[in-house]
Amino acid sequence: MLDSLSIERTKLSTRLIAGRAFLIKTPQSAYYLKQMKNWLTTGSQGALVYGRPRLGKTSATRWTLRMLPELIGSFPSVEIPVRGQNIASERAFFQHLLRCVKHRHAMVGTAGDKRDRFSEFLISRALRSPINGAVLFFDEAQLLQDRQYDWLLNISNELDKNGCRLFCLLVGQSELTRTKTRFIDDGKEQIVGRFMVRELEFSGIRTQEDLVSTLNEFHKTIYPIGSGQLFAENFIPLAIKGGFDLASIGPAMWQSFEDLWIRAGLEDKVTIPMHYFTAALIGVLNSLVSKDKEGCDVSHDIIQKSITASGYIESLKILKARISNEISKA
Amino acid sequence: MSSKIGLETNSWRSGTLRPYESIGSIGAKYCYLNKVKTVEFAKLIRGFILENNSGIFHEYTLDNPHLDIKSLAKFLNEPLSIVDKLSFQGFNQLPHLTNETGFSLDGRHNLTYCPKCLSEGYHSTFHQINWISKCFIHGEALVQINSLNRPISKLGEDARLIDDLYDIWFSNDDVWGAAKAPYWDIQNHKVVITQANKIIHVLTSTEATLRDQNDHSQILIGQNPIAKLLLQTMTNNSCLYNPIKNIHTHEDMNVKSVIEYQCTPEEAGNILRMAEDNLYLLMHSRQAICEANDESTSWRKLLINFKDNLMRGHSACLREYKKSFEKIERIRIRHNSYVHPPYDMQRFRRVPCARIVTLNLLQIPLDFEYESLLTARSISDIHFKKSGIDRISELKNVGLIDEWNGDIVSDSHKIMKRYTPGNIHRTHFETESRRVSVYVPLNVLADIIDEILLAIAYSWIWGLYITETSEKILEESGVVPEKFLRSKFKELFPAIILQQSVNGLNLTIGSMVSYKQPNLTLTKPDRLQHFTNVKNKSKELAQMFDWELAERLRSADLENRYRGYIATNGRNCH
Repeated sequence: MLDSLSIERTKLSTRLIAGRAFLIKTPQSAYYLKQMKNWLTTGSQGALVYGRPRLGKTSATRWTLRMLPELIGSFPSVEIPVRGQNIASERAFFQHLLRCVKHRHAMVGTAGDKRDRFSEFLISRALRSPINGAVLFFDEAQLLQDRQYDWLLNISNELDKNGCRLFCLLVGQSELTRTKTRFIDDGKEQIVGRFMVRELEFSGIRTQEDLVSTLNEFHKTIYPIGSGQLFAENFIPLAIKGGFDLASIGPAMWQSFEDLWIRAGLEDKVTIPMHYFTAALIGVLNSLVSKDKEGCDVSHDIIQKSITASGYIESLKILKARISNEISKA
Repeated sequence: MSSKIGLETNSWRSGTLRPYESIGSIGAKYCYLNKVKTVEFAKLIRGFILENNSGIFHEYTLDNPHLDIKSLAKFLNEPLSIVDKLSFQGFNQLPHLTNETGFSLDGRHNLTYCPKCLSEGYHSTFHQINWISKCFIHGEALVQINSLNRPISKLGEDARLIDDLYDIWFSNDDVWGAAKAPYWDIQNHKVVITQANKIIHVLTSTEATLRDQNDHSQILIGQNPIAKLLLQTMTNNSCLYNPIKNIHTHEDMNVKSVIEYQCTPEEAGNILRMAEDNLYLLMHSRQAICEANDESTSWRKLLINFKDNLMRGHSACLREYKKSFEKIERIRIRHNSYVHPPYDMQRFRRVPCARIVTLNLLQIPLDFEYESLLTARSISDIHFKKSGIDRISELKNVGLIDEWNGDIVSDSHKIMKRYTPGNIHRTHFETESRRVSVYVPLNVLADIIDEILLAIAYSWIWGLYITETSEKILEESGVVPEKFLRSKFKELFPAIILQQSVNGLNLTIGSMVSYKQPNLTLTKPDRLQHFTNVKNKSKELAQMFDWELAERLRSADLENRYRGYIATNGRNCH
């Protein structure tokens, strides 16, 4: 029978995997933050952030947007999930944007009313921000349709006219680069020039140092907020009190990930998507619950099993298939 | 429901809300910024009204104590300190002031605005209060426009102003230049709050004074509650620095210097314990006995003098009127068929000279048998119901009242009697005079009453003057002069306060009119021109009568001729 602590641990694990528990700083997201600061303070109006699935682009963007106000002051930002909906009309598009900001009047009025309402929403907030701008973060932006870029252009122009700036952060899969190329080919330079000049290819953990640094961030995190206890204490309180540091499993973890990468026959540099890393870490912590004691020892076997259970091997197979597909196409 | 709204966002420009901003102003701006119709804003506000609302809709929407101010502040992202200053809740319940003066913050139903405030994109609930006529910030005269919009369901009366203000600000570019700008200047709230606090302070300090007084320390008289409020606040605060005086509808109210009446504390106490109605009854009886005894009081002299002034220079008009009237009466009586004479002293257009209507109206205050200066009750009521006055024996014992038995001459007020022949018939039941027995004021009470009657007499004569000078407007609007005069009189009725003093009683009168007679004299050329006009109008009226008479005779003749045809439905037609 499950005890209450066990239920709490399960809840915490699933919440963390779903990205709803807390956001963690990684070397990649720290770089992303630096880039964003640069883009926003140099007058850019948009950027492409792309990469393979499960790398943690969405969480990294959320973390970046949460951290940016500490560097450049507060500014309005809106997360807009694009999920392949059939948003064919301008009215429906702006309704979706208004719903994303939980606007009270998202459902009423004409397309023009909704566009003006959304513009006013952004303008009134952008004018009060130190950067005189607002950020729209489109998640899965590769699903945006061509005409929707035109509508965004209208909004951007509207903000320009009123003395502020719209920054469209287009986050999505690598197809985004193809969209950019297509726009250039089609002569839609106004869209490319406005929103797609800046680019950032997002990657997962690529070095052992990155992995250790990320583990260190996990170790320092206090969760639940206000509890005063470290995140890992929810699983192995005695070991943590005894001085166990999550970063200490870093080299072993890296070794296991690297072995799997090599075994998959991939030639490029090792890449660990954040999703599989987090899942593996949760797996390790859950495995250590029954072995919790001061001076806890983490065996290589536990780490390997946790990485295997995270689905990393399957993701490598998909990656390999995709690479060979691309090669054959080329 | 409001907690759910608290999670929603909107397109309001945070930081632009101003203290004491009206719901009309907020609603108009909200609708413009969010591109929604008034109905959406109304739904929103209703959403902030807590469910245990008693269902009473308050005069001002934001004055509703069930309105969730905190959620509204959060929703608009405005400081609670400003949102809290959108309602009058801190000073709309002043029971002692309400009891004494009829104080209320009731608003006008039409949009009333300060042009300067409107040009800065501001309209305040203070602009709507019915006793305020000038802007509390700029001191500019408020402008009132008719509102055609209906009240909004389950919101206060003031919510109907949303559409008015929306049209003024956002349907044209002339009023508020920055209305459609991407940002609105965040105004300094200090001036608004300071000015509003001055008004609030005067009201609340007056309330505190009244609360601390005992029940019989003053009598406040008046038919105009707004004027009473002004006098009450002025006597409780320094007149010179009273901020209400500067913006009040009756800012021209002339507060006479305090008259001190020396009397014993017993007399003072008995007078102050009198009900307002009792005082009115004694004023009425005072008027009656002064007429009966032909006493020379200041108010009587004023009325007699005013009557003479009204008739001076118009004797020719009155003679012309009488001559023409008699002629018409003779024609009318000679002919069988009845035609109403064209003259009617109740209407300006039915008399050759407007002064005839004024003289006819002057008979109202002079008619002490039925109306008196105070329009209280008929003298018969006072005569038969002497007990209408409370505490008679106490007042008698201190020598403030006594019983008076005597004859009063009937119809002495009828100035126009001698100019309107043939239409006044006295029945054999009526006598030249009648005997009455009434309680009348004496000594210090009589002196106080004479001073009050003088103030009232001045209100009458200015009311009559204004009625006569409004002749054209009244004719165009079809308002009966007497009705106009009565409403004017009510408006001009003085506010009077009688308070206990060290040596007796202090009387303060706030008069709405000047203590001098209006200028009624015509220059010689004007008089000649006037008389020519009177003659012409008299001729016109006589012609009208002739025409109506001829018409009547013709139709009577036709009726006689075709009587058979009409009666038999055409069968015996020749």
